[in-house]
Amino acid sequence: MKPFTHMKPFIKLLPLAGLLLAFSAWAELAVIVDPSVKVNSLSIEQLQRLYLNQANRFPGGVALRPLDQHSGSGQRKAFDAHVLGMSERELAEYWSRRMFSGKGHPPATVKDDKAMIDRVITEPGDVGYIDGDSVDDRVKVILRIP
Amino acid sequence: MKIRFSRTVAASLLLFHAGILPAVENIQFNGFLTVGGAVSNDKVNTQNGNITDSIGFDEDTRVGVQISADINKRMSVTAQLLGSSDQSQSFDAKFDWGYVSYSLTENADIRGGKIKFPTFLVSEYIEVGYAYPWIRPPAEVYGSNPITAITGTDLLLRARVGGGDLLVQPYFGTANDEKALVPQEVLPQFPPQPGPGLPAGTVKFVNFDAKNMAGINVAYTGRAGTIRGGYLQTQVSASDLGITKNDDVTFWSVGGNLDWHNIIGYSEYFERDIDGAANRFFPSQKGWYATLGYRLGHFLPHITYATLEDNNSKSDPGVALQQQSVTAGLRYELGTGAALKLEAERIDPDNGTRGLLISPVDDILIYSLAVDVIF
Repeated sequence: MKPFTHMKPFIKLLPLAGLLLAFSAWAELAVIVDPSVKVNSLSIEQLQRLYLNQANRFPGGVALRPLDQHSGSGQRKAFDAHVLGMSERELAEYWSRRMFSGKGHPPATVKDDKAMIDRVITEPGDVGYIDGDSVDDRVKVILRIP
Repeated sequence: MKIRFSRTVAASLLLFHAGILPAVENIQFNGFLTVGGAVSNDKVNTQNGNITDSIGFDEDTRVGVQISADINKRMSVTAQLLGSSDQSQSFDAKFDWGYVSYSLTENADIRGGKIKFPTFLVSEYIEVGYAYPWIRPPAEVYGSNPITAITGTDLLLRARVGGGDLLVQPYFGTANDEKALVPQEVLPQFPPQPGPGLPAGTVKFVNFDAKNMAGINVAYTGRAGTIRGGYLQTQVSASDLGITKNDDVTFWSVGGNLDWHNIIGYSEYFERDIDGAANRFFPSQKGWYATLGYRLGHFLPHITYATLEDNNSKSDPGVALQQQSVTAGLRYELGTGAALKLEAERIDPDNGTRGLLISPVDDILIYSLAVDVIF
């Protein structure tokens, strides 16, 4: 631990840097579920597996269902790039192989942050992502992606 | 006791009824389309008659629609309609496959119906051109098993192993009324009864049946690609060819693909062994191919070498169809969900043989162009 103590001032500055970034471009994505869902956090890898239809049950046996924002939205682009790490073409090829061999479909889409919150709280178990600024106290955030 | 029994029956009938009415949720329709033309530089056609020296669209033109629906949390139904001009001159749409899938556990599904099964890497979506780099997967390997779907059942067993996904898939079933091409060499004796036979150059398909088909597919998929292996055994008969004794066929294959940074690679190997009367018409063979490509933005140039050889060790009357080919191709992404492909293929049958062509030739060139779309 000791060698890192001198870094503490920098770590304290990080939220400030984040705030500065928020003004320039993307704040962050928040991955949300209904507060009744018995999952408090997911890793990036678990999220990848959920969204690529490679897993649908998570610690404690909780069944989750992924939702996307519509393609072309800033949220979708940020999610595909920063969470899945795949381009639109790579995803189209991936899903063409999965779909036409009967191994699942891409997630259903909703039209914006508001619709995502409404859907997630009416269908507990649905997972969505929204702009960090759109989070309100009706939903539980299980991962923030800067 | 009586009352309780009938109540139970009534209750379960009610449950059944209630379960069936609101049943189907989340119905999905997805489609794919390939329009492709091909032409060769020689009067010698491919043995299926699809590629000739005038531009034709029969080899690479097809359209499919897949319908899937969740019946409940554990059960789903998937079916695919396919319209293709291959193997006939009319554009027929047919019910290509369809099955019901039941999730036993999170990591195990059982499926029943007519199931597309994975002899090779892209076998399960071989009609979906958008899903692979070539216009058509190398014929030297993919042409070796004409059966792409079985009527029967399979198990999909999944496990997370070392950062990747392992799939173990045993299957069992039958395939009836499959189409097999009558080799040119036996046309003079066809049909098997005494008669004038068929003239050389005739493209003739006969039905055959495969019984007791049992196989297993094992695949490991990581971030950079998939490696797989499979084994299959069955018994075939084709009354039109006088193959009546359910001759044994065994088939095994290994292969892998790579999608790493900008590098694309595919390579597969197979051996098939056919016994008895069936071997007079369908030789024991082995073959392999390797494809290497490099992605440059929207372009994917690639090159493939493929070879098909005899797999005879004993006295084997089967007519060997041996050839090598080199294919240079270019895939261009037309936005998301569409691709344009160009290919030039040089086929070299072994000395004095016809390979997968209709008659012997030194070599021929085939030029192909295709557009693949998913929707």
